[in-house]
Amino acid sequence: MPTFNRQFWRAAGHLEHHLKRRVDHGPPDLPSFVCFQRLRVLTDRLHVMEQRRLSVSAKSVSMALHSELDRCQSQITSALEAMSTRCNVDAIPTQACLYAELIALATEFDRCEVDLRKGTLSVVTECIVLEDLDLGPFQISLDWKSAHGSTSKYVVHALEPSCPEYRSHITHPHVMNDRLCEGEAQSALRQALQSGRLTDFFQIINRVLHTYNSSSPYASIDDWNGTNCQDCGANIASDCSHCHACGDALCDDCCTCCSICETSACVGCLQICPGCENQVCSHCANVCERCSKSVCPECLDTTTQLCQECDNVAESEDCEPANGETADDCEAGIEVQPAGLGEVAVPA
Amino acid sequence: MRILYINNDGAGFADHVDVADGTTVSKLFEQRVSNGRPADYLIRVNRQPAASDQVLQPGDRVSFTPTKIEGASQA
Repeated sequence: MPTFNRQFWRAAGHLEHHLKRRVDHGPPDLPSFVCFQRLRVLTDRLHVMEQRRLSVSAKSVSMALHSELDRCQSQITSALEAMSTRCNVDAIPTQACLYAELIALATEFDRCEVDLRKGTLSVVTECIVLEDLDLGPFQISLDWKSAHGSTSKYVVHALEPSCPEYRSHITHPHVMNDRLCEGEAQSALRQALQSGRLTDFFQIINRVLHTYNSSSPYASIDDWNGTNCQDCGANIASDCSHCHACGDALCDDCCTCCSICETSACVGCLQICPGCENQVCSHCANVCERCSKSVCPECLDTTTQLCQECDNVAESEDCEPANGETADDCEAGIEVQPAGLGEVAVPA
Repeated sequence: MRILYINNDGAGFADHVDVADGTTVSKLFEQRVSNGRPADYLIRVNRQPAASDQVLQPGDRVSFTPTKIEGASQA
């Protein structure tokens, strides 16, 4: 039988008190009439901006409207959860139950700490390793004093942060600014916290930290340590330029562009026009029908489909004299008749 | 007999359920998590790790928590 932990018992008492406060907290806090008025004003203003095609102003109003709607939604959600709790008073765990949760928590995690003054409960996970990427241990801290319904505040803080290149605010593929994006754990976390199932709450967060969702991370593991320019090998950020033809990552120095369509490309995917020496991508380049060289559209004769060089050669070939012709004839463009044409024998 | 059954998979479930006397942990898992494997879950009885052949008692608190729960980035 584990020894009695006085600090945990007191913490359990505080938690029970705060959980009960959700029920005895007076009428639910609903958005004010002013809030709805403001929503109407912003909606009308957005409509006017869009009608007048003032896109910049419309975007600004859209963002303000989004922010206001988000705030309204949070208030309504909290009020709904408060009402749910009122309807289910018996679900509030007792101090003894919460004490058992804290004892179990200390068994599940190596470190479990209570700060009665701050009103926080923290655990430390083991080292999180996702696909050979060591992210170190994380501290999960729950602030029970901020409890509003089931949406208490908690943070997930990396104790030995390993951040992706150029993004120090991301410490885990699903943690940004110490906030976990709960994904499919959201509902289970709310229920666990609402019921006072602290062990389940922290264990669910722990399992999310141990799981990599490659389809929706803040930063993917593949790009965690940045990438290399495929031309010069320099280490660059993952959101660098890419060659539109082959997809290779490129640094600013190695990234060039087609002189016709201006899409970015690597040196290997651009061709130099023999006529004007501009760099042209494969989409814009045309092929000379005679020498098969790639040339830019401006250096290809649209009539002959020949490059300048081949066009010149073709012209000079057309002007070479045939049998009996002189060069002058050829140049004069006179059609030379065969000898004796139109002549008849005249008897002596 | 009546036990508290908690499943932290998906939307989550926590409520008292009736199970037959002599039901073991593994039997309850088969009945309640038809498409899962026990190895993919943390299984606790009364907040303690439990053997699969542990026989449940009235009033026991049984929880199943998936070991893989996907987080996401907010859109």
